[in-house]
Amino acid sequence: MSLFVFLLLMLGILSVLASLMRGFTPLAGLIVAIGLGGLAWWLWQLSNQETATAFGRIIFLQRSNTLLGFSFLLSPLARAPFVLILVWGAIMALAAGFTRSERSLIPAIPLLAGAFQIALSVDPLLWTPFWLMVTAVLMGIIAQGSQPRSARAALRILATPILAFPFFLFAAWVFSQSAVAADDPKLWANAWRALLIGMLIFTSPVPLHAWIPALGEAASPFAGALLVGSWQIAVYAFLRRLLFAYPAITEFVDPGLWLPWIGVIQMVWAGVFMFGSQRLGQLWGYLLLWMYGATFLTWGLTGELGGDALFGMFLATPIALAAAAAGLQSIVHRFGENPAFSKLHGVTERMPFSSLGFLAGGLFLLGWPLGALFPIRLSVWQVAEFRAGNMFLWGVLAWILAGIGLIRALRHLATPVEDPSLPRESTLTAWTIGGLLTISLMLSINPALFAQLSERLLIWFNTF
Amino acid sequence: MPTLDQFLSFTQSLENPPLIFLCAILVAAMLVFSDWRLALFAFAGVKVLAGILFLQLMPPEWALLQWITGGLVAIMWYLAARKVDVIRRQQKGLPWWRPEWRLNPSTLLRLSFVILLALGVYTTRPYIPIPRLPADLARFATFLALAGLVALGLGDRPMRWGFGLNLWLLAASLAIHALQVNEDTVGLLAGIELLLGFAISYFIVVDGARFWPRPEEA
Repeated sequence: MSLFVFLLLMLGILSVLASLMRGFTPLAGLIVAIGLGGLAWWLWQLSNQETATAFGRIIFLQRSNTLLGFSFLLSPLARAPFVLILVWGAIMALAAGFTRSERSLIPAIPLLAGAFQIALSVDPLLWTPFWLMVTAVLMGIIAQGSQPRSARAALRILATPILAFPFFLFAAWVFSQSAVAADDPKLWANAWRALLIGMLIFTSPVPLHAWIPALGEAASPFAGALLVGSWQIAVYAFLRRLLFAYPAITEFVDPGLWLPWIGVIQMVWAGVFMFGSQRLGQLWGYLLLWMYGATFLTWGLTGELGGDALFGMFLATPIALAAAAAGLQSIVHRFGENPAFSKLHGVTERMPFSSLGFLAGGLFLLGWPLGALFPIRLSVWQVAEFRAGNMFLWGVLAWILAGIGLIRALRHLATPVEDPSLPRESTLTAWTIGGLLTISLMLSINPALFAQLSERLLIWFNTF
Repeated sequence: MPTLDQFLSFTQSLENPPLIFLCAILVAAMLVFSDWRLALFAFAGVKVLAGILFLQLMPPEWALLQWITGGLVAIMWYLAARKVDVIRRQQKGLPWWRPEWRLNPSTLLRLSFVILLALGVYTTRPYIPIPRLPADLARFATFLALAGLVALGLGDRPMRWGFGLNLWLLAASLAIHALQVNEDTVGLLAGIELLLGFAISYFIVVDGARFWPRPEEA
């Protein structure tokens, strides 16, 4: 059995098990967290050997599978982002299970990981965009959740890969015609432009960013966090592979220039809307967009030298994000989806840990001190200040606006209780948020905790 | 009933401009009509005409795949929208036959956007010179892509997004099939269309269920 098939089978079994247990959400969350964490750990243990053993079966690590003309191979290059997605899934499943998230979310997490595994295991130019499109359909269904609600988020998720796909198809055709370059240089140049446009669309630049804020408003908080985070990892892996496979693209536009600008524009946009937000879901959605943009800023500014920092960031982000999502989930459970600030009364008094989780998690995502992302964000600001003063100023503006947005939310959450029957938060939620914030604090004190992990992942990621 | 050969020889006598014009009218209807049955009918019409236009780029058995995929997608969307509508009408006590044509501000806004698009296309004649695609079809593909993008901006209802993304894929199919026609590409684009159709039909139900007066009884 190949590694690819083994992992897909395990993810399928995990999803079925979680479905059977979905009536008891904490147990389902625990099963998925243990399963995904176990798979990530097992993959982590694998060295460059040819085979491994699992459940008494020999797993061939370098064997590819062919089905319907597709060839699938989970190479070490694909393994690194896949492990990250497993880690994100495990953390989110655990936190979602303990905070009364939607029952349909937890069984879907292994399926989502499986979809990303397929997308990462195929030829990048044509088939990764195709499988990311399939993944987007699954993401849309997860965003929609198990209750009738506006399909805005789900629909917008579909737009990005479908709009981008024809450009990749065109580029793939031209690149497969070896004689074209000499016969028709214009067509050849158009193919490079198409490839660049496809890549740009996948980064969800403004105004194609709308699916991210929509997830904040029209999806459960954990679904939004997981979908944005895992998509970001997959897109990063995909774009990086394309840049390495087709380095001539840098002759058209330097990614070191457009990538950080895309990130900064997303961050400023998010900051402005966080500053003016009137609803908690809206604030959450734009916080996710801010985080998304900050990743591209980090990648664009630090390039290949910042690979370590980027992987460290991918490992630390879900902790702060899960704390914020858990806090929001708990508040949403009491006040309904996407509650207006004006309706929130007495939240800090009745749900202190939930309020703390949402606000501290949000501020930690922005890179405030005592949070897991503080050292990484600080170093990115330093690089930005040194390399690109304009970007630094715009980035700081976005950071300030986003921070004020969260502080405005605190002002509303801290209003006195109006409804005496407003129930208190559950103990399990409080413990979950407390645990996540403590881990975040530990990481800020000792940022090297993830150093070994990110180094190994980076080595895999550089194995072509 | 004509045979396939008779039908194909009939299509050869058709000129592109009237077909494209008719298609453009149907696209406009798809984007403007608030009644899902009329919009879906226009969508089916666009797919039928697109199949005929594709005969210039590929063999008939593949060109007419537009009819099959379009038909399957239209059936999926019809069943989904009908389910939502039937339950809503039952719960509101409305008879199934009473049309719900509305000329509300939202419809007027869509109408004005479509008129703006038509005026823009008529005056500026936007044209992306797609390699190996005849000029009139390239202009039509550009129009379809623009109409698709406009449809995405016209609101957050699943069927309209489905129309928008489908128009985008149709434009892409014209561009791609001018370059290469093989079973992989034809199958891939048809597969994407079906996948999109499946996803949109699911979203039609879960989004539409919000408007049921008593969803718990459904």
